[in-house]
Amino acid sequence: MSLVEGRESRGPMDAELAYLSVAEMSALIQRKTVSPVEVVKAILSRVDALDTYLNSYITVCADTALAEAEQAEGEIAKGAYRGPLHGIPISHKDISLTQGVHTTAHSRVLLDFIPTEDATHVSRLKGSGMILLGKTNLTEFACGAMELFGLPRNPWNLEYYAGGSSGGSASALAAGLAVAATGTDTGGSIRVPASWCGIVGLRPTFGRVSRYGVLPLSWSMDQVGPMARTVADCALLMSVMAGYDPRDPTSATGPVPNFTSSLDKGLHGLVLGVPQNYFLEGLDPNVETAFRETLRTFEGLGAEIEPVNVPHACDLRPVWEVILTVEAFAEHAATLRRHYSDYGTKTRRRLASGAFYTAADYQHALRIRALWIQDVRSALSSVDALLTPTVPTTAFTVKAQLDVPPDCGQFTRPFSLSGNPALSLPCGFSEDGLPIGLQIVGRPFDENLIFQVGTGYEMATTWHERRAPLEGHN
Amino acid sequence: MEILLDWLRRESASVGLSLDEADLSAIAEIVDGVKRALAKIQFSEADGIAIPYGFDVFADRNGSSRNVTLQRFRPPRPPG
Repeated sequence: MSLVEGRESRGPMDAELAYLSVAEMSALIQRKTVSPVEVVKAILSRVDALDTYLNSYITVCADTALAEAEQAEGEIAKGAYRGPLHGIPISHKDISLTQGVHTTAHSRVLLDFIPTEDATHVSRLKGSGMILLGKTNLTEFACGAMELFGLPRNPWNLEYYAGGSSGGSASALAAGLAVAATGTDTGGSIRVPASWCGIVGLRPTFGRVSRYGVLPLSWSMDQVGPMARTVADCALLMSVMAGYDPRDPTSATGPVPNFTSSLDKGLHGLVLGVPQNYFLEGLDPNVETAFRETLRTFEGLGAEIEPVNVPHACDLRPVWEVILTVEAFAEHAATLRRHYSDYGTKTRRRLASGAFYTAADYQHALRIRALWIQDVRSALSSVDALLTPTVPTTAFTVKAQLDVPPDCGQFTRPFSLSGNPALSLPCGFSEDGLPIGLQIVGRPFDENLIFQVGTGYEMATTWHERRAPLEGHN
Repeated sequence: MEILLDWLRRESASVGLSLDEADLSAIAEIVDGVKRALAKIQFSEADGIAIPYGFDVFADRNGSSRNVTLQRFRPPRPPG
């Protein structure tokens, strides 16, 4: 059955609308050139035609999205325009609570769970007039397998995995099945799929965005962030998502800046650090070539590239894994005891492993983490931001992901441990047409500088304008 | 690994998990691998982080752990 009853897909015309950036769409909606209803119908048509192949959504809210679009259209017609996100559809990772809409976390444990309230970021984006389009696919509880609904495919090549854990959001954005999305990032779950699908994703500073209403994994590392097709769109979403929330005691009480204010400041005079150890090791040749070319582009734009030393940079996976699983077990212990067999095999074993590390293991991990935080702070004291590839490789095949998934978080986990803000944006393509991501890491609460650097690079390149070759499937 | 597996068998009950042998073996493999990898990450400066707080280091500096315990946790004397 069609998601959009009584309406034929207009193919290319729907694609033109669906691939608009939030900023472009917003301008058209404000001028009443395009209505939110047209936008929602165009995207739903594409979901209807393409998500069979992509598997990017777990739940599509077709009826309510159309109703919300009609309401937004009416409000805007009456002059009650709420701002640049009014009438724009958004897709949330299916780990964020959405009032009245299934929230499964891709788990049998929550198969029938319909929350009675929204997560704070969902509520804030709704308040800005955004329309809930659907809930996107993820690994089970953002840390396990995808046994229940299958895994999201990469729109650039359907034999490849979109990445995890926020892979559904990234896949939907790259395929024009979403205009804006949210994800969560504990070790790279926004940045890795953003890199592999050729879109933009921000892990904000720890504490910048409330985590209330996000099913927890790691108390000290989980973070919620925006995902979109341009840096400016991420900045627009952050302007609404960020800020103190009394329901999340880890959210920061400091002022929230205007995240769009620095987008057009350019790169002249900025000093960008490139770690010389670890973050340049084991790179796929395509990634290495793209990264070197990216550095030359930055120099051409007036930025100074500065080699920096991060003496303790190394594979911090065991440090991250101990902290993650100990904290995840603490969150899941009661549910694991009651519903152990409802969890996927891989998920339950990983979560249960957290019960068997000792206090000494956890403290050792925290000490290494403290030292690493000093390293990152020191490196960022002499430069404005750090640049690294987001992932050492392009996307893995679906087969590799299902067999024994290779590691892909070598360069993202270190900044989850340190709590710094980090953005991934497209910086090239491999010879076989798969996207490559650049990671920009900033000082705590300096997302504005990351957005400035990202926009400066984005405006000088066209990687973000490429579209995944999906139209043959339409 | 066998020792770890036995320990997991005993401890799993104490944390309230009913794990079968397949789960126990898989978890033992995960925990063993992570612990070994974690043990390899030894930065000398990481010990330095512990100096003001690490009980053993503090105890060595003051002669014996018993004295340290007394010094650190002796209740305040009443005035006069």
